[in-house]
Amino acid sequence: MSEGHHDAPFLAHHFESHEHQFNAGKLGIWLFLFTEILFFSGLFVAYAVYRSSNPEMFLGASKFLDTKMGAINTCVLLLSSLTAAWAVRCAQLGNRKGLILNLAITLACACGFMVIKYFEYTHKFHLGIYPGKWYEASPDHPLHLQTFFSIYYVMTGLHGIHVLAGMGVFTWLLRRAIRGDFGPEYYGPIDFSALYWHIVDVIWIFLFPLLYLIR
Amino acid sequence: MTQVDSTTGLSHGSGGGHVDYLDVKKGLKNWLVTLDHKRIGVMYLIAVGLSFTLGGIYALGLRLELMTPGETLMTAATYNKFFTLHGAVMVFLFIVPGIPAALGNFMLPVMLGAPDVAFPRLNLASFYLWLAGGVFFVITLFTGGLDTGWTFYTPYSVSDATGTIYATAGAFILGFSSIFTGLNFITTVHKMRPPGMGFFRLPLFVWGLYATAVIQVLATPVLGITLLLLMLEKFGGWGIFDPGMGGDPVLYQHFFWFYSHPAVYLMILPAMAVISEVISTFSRKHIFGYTMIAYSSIALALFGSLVWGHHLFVSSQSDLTSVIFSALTFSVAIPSAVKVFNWLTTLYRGEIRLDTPMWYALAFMFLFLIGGLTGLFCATLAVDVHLHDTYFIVAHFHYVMVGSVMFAFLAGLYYWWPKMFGRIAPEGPGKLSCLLSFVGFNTAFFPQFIMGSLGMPRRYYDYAPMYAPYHMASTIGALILGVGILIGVGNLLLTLRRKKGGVPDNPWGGATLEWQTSSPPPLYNFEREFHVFDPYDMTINRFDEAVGGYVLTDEALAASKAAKAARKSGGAQ
Amino acid sequence: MMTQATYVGDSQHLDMPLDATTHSFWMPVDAAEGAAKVDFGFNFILAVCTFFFVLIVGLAIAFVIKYRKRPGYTPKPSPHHSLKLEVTWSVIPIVLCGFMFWFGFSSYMTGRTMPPNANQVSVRGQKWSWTFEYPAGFNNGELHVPVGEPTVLTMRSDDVIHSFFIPAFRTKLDVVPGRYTKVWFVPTKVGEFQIFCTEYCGDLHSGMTAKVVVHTPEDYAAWVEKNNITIDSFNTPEAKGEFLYQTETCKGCHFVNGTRLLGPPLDQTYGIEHEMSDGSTLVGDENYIRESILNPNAKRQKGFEGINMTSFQGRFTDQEIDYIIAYLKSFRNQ
Repeated sequence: MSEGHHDAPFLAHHFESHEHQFNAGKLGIWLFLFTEILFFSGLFVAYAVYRSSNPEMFLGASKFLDTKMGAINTCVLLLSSLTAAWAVRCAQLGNRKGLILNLAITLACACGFMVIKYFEYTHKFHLGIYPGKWYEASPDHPLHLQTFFSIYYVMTGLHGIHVLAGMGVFTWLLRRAIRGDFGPEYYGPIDFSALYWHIVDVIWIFLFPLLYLIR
Repeated sequence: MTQVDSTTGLSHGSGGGHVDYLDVKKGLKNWLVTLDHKRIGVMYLIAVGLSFTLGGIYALGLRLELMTPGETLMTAATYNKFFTLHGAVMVFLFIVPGIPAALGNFMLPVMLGAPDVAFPRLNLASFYLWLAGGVFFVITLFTGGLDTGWTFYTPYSVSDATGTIYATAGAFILGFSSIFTGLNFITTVHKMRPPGMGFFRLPLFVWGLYATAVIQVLATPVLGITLLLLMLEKFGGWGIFDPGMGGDPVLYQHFFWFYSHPAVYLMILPAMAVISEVISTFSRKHIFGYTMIAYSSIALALFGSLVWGHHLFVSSQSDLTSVIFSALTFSVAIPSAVKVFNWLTTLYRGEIRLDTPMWYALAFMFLFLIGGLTGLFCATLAVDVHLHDTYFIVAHFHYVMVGSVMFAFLAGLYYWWPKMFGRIAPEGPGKLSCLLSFVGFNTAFFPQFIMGSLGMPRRYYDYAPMYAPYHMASTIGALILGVGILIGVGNLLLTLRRKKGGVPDNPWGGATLEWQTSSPPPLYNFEREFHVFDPYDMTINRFDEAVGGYVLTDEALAASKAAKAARKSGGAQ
Repeated sequence: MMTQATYVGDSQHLDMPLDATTHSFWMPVDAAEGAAKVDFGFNFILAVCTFFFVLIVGLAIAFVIKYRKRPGYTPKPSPHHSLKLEVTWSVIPIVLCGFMFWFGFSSYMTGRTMPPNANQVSVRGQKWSWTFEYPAGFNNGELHVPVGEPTVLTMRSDDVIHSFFIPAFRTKLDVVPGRYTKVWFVPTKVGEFQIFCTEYCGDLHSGMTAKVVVHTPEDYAAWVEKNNITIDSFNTPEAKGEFLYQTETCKGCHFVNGTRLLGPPLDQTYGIEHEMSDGSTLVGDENYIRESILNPNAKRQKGFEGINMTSFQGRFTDQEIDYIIAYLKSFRNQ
C-alpha cells in the first residue's frame, strides 16, 4: 500500500494515484449519468404512449406553451454547457481565474433558466392549468389538456430539480475553486460535475422540441 | 506495518501486532460513521436480518390464517395487509439488498485484494438511504399498513385508503440505495483489481456481484420513475395511469415489471455466485466451466432485462407482445441450465467435504432445480394462461427467491462467518437447521404447485374445501421451516458470545484472495503481501495440521513471486 | 369481529367445490375445447422436468457419495472444462425450449382467435362480484352457456383490475377499467364450474367468485326464457328495487336478513337509529340511503371503519335509487 498519500490532501487512501482516483471517478459518474438517462427514459416512454394515443390533444395543448421562452432557455443552457466545459479546461491548465469565471457564468445561467421557468409556470397557473387534481377546467382548454400538462409538469419539474441540484454542485465547486483546491493534478470534481451538467442540458434538448415544437 | 510470514497462515487474534477491523475503533459512534466496507457490510447484515425477521413473522401469520378455510386468525383486511407487507418487506428490504449489500460489501474488496470499494462515502450513503427507506416502511406499518400487494398495481393502489404513499416513497429511496451500491461495485471491479487479476481471474462471486450491479444500474432507475409517477398519481391525481383521464393502467405494469423482473435476477445471481464458490471449495476441485459460468451471469443479467412482459400474459397486452416475450423468456432457461450442469460436473471426481455450507449448497441445487424447471411451465404461453396468478406461481417464485436465495445466503454466511467474525459455528446445529429448513421448505411449497394447477388463485383469504389439505401441509411446512431457520441463525449468533480468534486464515481450503488475509481481516484488508492465482486452482494450498487450516504451498508461492518479478521487469521496459 | 367472520361460513361464495370430484392429480376437470391441449403441454413439460430433475439430483447424490472425502480416497484428476459437454448441455435445452415455445405459442393463438357467430355475453367485474349481461337484455350473477357452441365474453371493469378465470376451461384474462377485453371458449361438458377473480382487488378478493353453468342447447334456451327478466318485468317500485338489489351486486356485501355481511344489513337501514363511527346517531332516511349509494364512505356506521364501498355514482339513475329506497322502506312496512 502506498504510504506517500499524506502530501496529497485530495487523494483518498485507497487509491494508488491521482490518475487512479480520477479514472474510478470518471467511470462512476458515467454510470450515474447512465442511470439518469434511464430515469428520464420512463417519462419519454410515457410521453410516446400518450402522444400516439392522443395526437390531436398534444397538438392543441402544445399551443399553450411559450416557444420564445423555451428557446431562450435552450440558449441559456447551451451557453452554460460551454462554460462548464471551459471550466474543466481552465482547471486542467491551472488557470484559476478562468475557472472561477466560467463556474460563475455556469451558475448564473442555471439561475437564469430557473427564473424563466418560474415565469412560465406562473403563467400556466394563471390560466388555471395547475398540475393533477388542482387543474381548473376552462372553456378555452381543449379536451384532456390536463393529461398533456401532467406529462409536461413531471418532465420539466424533474428536469428543474436536476438544474437546482446542479446549482448546488456548482456553488460548492465555486467555493472550492476560490479556495484554490483544483489544479492540473486534481480536477475530478469539475470534470464530473460538467459531465452531469451536459446530461441535464441534453435532456432539455430533447424536452424542448417534444413539448414546445410539435405544432 | 506488521509483517507476518505468509506461510504460517495463522491469525494472531490476541497478542502480536494484529488489529482486526472489529477492534480498530470500537463504539457505536465509530461504527455509524465508518467508511470501512466490512463494517458497512456487517451493518447491512444486521439490518437485512431484522427485515427478514419482520417479513418472516408476516409469513407465519398468513400461513396460520390459511391453515383452515374461513377465518382462522384474522380478518380479510388484516390478511391482505399481511401478505402485502410480507412481500414488500421481503423483496425491498431483504432479498434485493441481502447478499450483495451484506456479503458482497464485505467480500468484494477483499476478494480483489483492494483496501476498500471505489467510493467508500457513497457506500455509507447507500446504507443510510437503505435505512431511510426502511424508516418509511416502518411509518407505513404505523399508519394503517398497506394492502395493495407489493406490486402496487393501479388503479387499486391509487383508490385504496392505506399507506401506499409512504411505502412507495420508501421503495423509491431503497431504489437509490440499490443504484449507488451497483454503481460502486461496477467501478470497484473495473478499477480496484490487483495486478495479475484480469477479468477471467475474478472469483465467480465477483462475477455474480458484477452482473447484479449491471441490473441494479440498468433497471432500478425505471422503478424510481414508476414509483414517482405513482406517488404523483396518488397524491396529486396526476392521471398518467388513470383510465378516466386517458391514462393506461397496463402501462404501469410494464414499467413496474421492467424493473421487477430483472430484480428477480438481481436476487438470484449473487445467490448462484455464492454457490459457485462453496461447491468448488468443498469439492476441493477447480470449478467446471469457469468461463461459461461467468458469461452465463452476464447473459442472465441481459436476457433477464428483456422478459418482463411474461408477467403480463393475461393483462390484455397484445398477443404479438405476449408471443415475443414468451420466446425471450425461454432464453433465460439456457444460462440457468448451464450453471446447474457446471456445478454438477464440479462435483465429479472431487474430494467432497460435507460441512454445513456444502449442505446448504446442495440443498440450494435441489431447490433451484425445481424453481428453475417450473419456470418452463410459466414461460409456455398456453400453459401459463391457466397457471397465471395461481399458487403455482407462488410456489415457483418461492422456490427461486426463498428456496434458492435464502439457502444460498445461509451457505454464504456459514462459509464466510469465520472470515467475518473470527469464529466457526458448530456443525451439528448447522446441519440440523439445514435439514429442517429443507424438509420444511418442501412441505410448505411443493403442495402449492399442485393446488395452483388445480386452480387455487393467489392472494386469497379464503378457499374452497378441496384445497384445504394442501394449505394445511403448507402451513405445517412453514412452521418447520421457521424452526429450521431459527436454529441456523441462532447457531451463528451464539458463536459471537465466544472469544474470537484462533481461527485459521483458510479453514475450508478456498483459493480466492479473502482466504489469504487474517480472520477477521485488518482495517485495510491485507497487512501482508498477497498472491494472485487462478481463483479455483486448489493445488495452490495444502492442509497444515499445525495451523488447522490450509496454507499456500511453497511451489505456489515461488510461482507467484516469479510472476510478480516478471511483471515488474515487464513494466520497467 | 365475530360478525365479520360469519360471512364466510354461510356465504354463497365458496361452498362449492364444483369440479372437485373429477379432477386429476395436477389439473382440474377438462371441460372446454383446447383444455386437453393445455394439459398435454403441461404434462409434456412435467415429463421433461421430471427427467432432468431425477437425472441431476441422482447424479449429484451419486457424486457426493462416491467422491466424498474419506481416508484412503484420492481423487483422480479430471478436466475443468470441456467444450463438447458445454455445447451439448446448451443445445439440448435450446431444442426442448424451442418445442415448448412453439407448442405454447400455437395453442395460445388458437385460443385467441375469435370465432364468428358466437354466442355473446358481456361481463362486468366490480368489487367484489361478477355480473353477466345477456344479449336479450337481462343480467344475471351466473354465467350460463350452451354446450358445444362458442361463447365470446366481452369484459369490462367498473373499478379496479380484476381477472376472469375458469380453471375447468383453462382460460384467464384480466378485466381492465377503461378497455374491453375478450375471451371465448367452447364448453364440452354439461355441468357447473367455478369462476375465480385472480387479480387482487381488495378485501373480498377471495369472495369474488361465481359459477358458470353449461347447459344442453335446449336447456339453455329454456333458461334464457325463464330468466329473461328486466326491471320492466316488475310493476311496483319495491319489486323493482329488490330486482336491483339482486342483480346489481348489492347482495355481494349486504344481507337483508338482519345480519352483517361485509356491509350492514339493508333491511335494518330505513327508519332505524344508527350509531355512527364518529359517535353521532342518525335515523336512516331517504337522504342517508341516497348518500350511502353515491358517496358511500361519507357517513359510516359504527363497526364499519376501514371497509370501503365503491360508489355507484353513474351506475344508478335517480329513478333507480328511488326504487332501492322503496325496497329498503318496505322492510319497515311488514
